[in-house]
Amino acid sequence: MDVEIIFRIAGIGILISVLSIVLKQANKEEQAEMLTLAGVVVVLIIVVQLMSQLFTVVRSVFNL
Amino acid sequence: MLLKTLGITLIIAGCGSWGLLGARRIDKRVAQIKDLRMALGFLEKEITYIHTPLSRALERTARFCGTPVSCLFTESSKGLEAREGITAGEAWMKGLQALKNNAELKAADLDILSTAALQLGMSDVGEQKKFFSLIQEELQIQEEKALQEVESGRKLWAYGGFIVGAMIVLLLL
Amino acid sequence: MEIAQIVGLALLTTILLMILRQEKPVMAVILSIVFSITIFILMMSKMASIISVMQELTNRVEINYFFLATVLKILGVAYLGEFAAAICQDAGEQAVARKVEFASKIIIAVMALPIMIAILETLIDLMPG
Repeated sequence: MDVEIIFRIAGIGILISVLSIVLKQANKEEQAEMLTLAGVVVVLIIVVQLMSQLFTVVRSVFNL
Repeated sequence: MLLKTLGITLIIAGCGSWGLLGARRIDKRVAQIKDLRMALGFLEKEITYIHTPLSRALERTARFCGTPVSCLFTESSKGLEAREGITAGEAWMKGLQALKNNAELKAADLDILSTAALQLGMSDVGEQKKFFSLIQEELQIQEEKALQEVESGRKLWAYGGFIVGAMIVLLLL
Repeated sequence: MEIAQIVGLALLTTILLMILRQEKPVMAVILSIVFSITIFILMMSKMASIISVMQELTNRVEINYFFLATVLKILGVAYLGEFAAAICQDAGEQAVARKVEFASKIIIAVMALPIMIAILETLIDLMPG
């Protein structure tokens, strides 16, 4: 079931936002921003794989 | 399933404790700078008021303060008492090396202390007294900076460790 | 009851999205993309069975299969376009959403051209003279 991936991405997102808050409190704002970007890149890699899966399925079902 | 849960717990606990250790280090540094200042004050009084010879003064200071700050003084006094012809400055540097290995002090703190190598036992009492006051003030500044670091860095290390562990778990799962 | 699972998942995702949107809108957009894709893929299997039934019907009625194929393609384009447009809108990018809708309309119109031509020809044939 693909449902697990939703929770994984949500978990990563929440953890990254918490970590960025903690970093901002410690006056390390640039590192917080870099961390956010790194997290987005990592998650995007997962999402891109998912999107290619989606397009394959749509193409096969609708004979596009 | 059980193995997985065990692995997850291990990773999170491991990263969390690494983070907590980092937080503890920052706390320790503040206490150590304070200890250092008190010990140097004691040394100053020994030298300037009681006129104790340097090796004796260092030994008594070592007994006065606790570890790990005492490493500095034990090593330097041992170096002088060995009478192998090394100067007070070199003995002090040896002590600093021991301190570096055993304490959480940063390079900046150790630098302040190394300037003492040139002065120890070299000039008259008045000069030494002035010099000690200078070191005391510089260490005071470092202590305040360390305190600031504690306020901002403690939470970062403590929470950051657990969060990094959880992220590793989520990514690898 | 699959609908219950999907509803539960959707509500949970909505709550998570609200939390994420406050702190990191980026992750919220990504999460909504992932959720949409997951639901899509889940529903595609059902969609496949519907389409195969329709194909069988057209086979029996002996309509040119080309028409059904075109309609299906248009359906696919519409679904994909709507999926992207909704996500862009949720992320606050109205302009991007409108452009996606616009593009999908154009593509659908192009796909529908042969059918329109066929209808026109049939009409012309039907008209006297």
